[in-house]
Amino acid sequence: MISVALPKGRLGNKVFDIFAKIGYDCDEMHSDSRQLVFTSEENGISYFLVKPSDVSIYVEHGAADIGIVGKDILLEYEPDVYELLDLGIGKCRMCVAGKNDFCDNPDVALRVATKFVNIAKTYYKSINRNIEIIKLNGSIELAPILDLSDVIVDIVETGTTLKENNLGVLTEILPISARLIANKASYKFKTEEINKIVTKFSEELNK
Amino acid sequence: MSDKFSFLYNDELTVLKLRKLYEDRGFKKFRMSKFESYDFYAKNKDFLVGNRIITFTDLNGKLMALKPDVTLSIVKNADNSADRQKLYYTENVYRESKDIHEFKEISQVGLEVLGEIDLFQTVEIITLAIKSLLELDENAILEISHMGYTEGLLDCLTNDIHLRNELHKLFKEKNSHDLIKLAEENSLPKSPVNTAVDVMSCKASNEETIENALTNALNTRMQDAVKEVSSIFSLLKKSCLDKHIRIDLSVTDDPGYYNGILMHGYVHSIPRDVLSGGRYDSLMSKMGKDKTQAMGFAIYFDALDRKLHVKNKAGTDAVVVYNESSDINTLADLCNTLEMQGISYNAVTKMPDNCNNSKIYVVEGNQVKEVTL
Repeated sequence: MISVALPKGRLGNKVFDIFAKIGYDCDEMHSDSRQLVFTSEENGISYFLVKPSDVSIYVEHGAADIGIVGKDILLEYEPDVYELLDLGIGKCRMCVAGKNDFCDNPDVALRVATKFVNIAKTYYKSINRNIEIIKLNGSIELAPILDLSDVIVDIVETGTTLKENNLGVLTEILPISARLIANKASYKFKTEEINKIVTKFSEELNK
Repeated sequence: MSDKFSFLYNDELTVLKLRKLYEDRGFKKFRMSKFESYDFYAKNKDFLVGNRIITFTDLNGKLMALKPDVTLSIVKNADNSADRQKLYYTENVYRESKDIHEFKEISQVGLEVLGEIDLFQTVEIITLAIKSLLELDENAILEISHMGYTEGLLDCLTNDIHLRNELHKLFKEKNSHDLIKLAEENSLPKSPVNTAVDVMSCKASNEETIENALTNALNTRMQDAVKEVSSIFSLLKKSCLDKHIRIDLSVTDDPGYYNGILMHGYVHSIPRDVLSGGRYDSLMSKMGKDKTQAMGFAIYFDALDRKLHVKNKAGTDAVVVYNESSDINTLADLCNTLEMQGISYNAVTKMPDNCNNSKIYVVEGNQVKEVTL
């Protein structure tokens, strides 16, 4: 039996559809029940839906054998897991954004609002820029508008929210997509089953 | 071990079994002091798991540290000669916990061999690593790799230190998709990239892995590494321990400390490795002991706590309940009889709520009654 941590929401639904297509369907997932864990004994798989940022925690601690998580979460929390496949879905970009007329003054520390503290620190360290981090948990775009920060580091999908608020992408740090991760110990004991899922998944995505 | 030790927790019992295992192979117990000079660890910070160390100033004003590692102390005390020292230890170390951002005390059992490490000695250490794991779980797996293989592969890919570090990280993650992307961005040669992707996939049996690795070896460093792994595997087969081995040549570690064989041990229901170790001549060189080779492993009991910190037997065989009206001689006679019969007992003045299947004897006046709850 392989246990899978899926991210709640659009990405989780999309990924489950792929799992179903490649032979890991689960009837319980199609019902409207309030169940938390969905199991298909015949297909040897069980799913549970968790907050996207918690997927890597469930996998790292072995509560799930594998999981689907955004690269942003992997870079931010650096969980000790295997990253076995780039699904190439849920694509977006990790960007530095700010007011359209923003002009950087290198003589003072740059105020950066973000929920991705680790990613922001690593990026600015790589370009030797002195920064002051302002950790926020949501509505990051508000920070430069209210002069809480000079710039933000956040995920940009279409850029519509930025545009509507007179903000724009200043730099693209890296592209983001969903990844299939595995717990290291689970991988040792269930190598064949996990490799089978990875191969089937990869074949389905390349169709 | 017999029922005589059933009062011990399984982790305590396991430590005793491991001590016997190591003593039976001629290993001597190494005792170390709780503190070391902070300077000593600061110089070798890269070798340590985590960067934080608990420090304090001793009465002479010297900055000291609570030991975060045992291997470094053993190496420090080793002679710079080829004379072989076989040591084992059961010690507590103090490290930061990534999860709770606090320091924690971790119980460790391990062994180190310092001096000449030949093939037989290497196999003996690996055998002891497997047998140690089998004390924890009969289906345990020891993953074996070789630094020479990954370093040889990296030699074929690039000499750029930053790129090598990136590739090391991707090897550790089994992240072949980002490795291919990185190789394309930096125009790395295709053949070693394909070999890297192949070894990371873990789709072959141990025999096939060795065969493929030998066929795909791109330089003598890789060839030598596979040949060593192959010889070790053949010898382990003779002692029927091969079914607990998983050869994964993509596993790597810090080349500044490790050369040669690497080991990681896994047991069921523990989400991370519980044993790690390998050949660390590079560390010896770093510490000015060029003539000495070294290899060893450690088992981390913090990860095993939930699995092992249980008793085989809860409570005593019997409970003796007495009160003010009980005749003291009758009570003493009963206890002596139980003791002579080898029955453990707990004498209490109040009837227990839960007796864990123990027999209950109640002493009333000079009468003894056996009751059930």
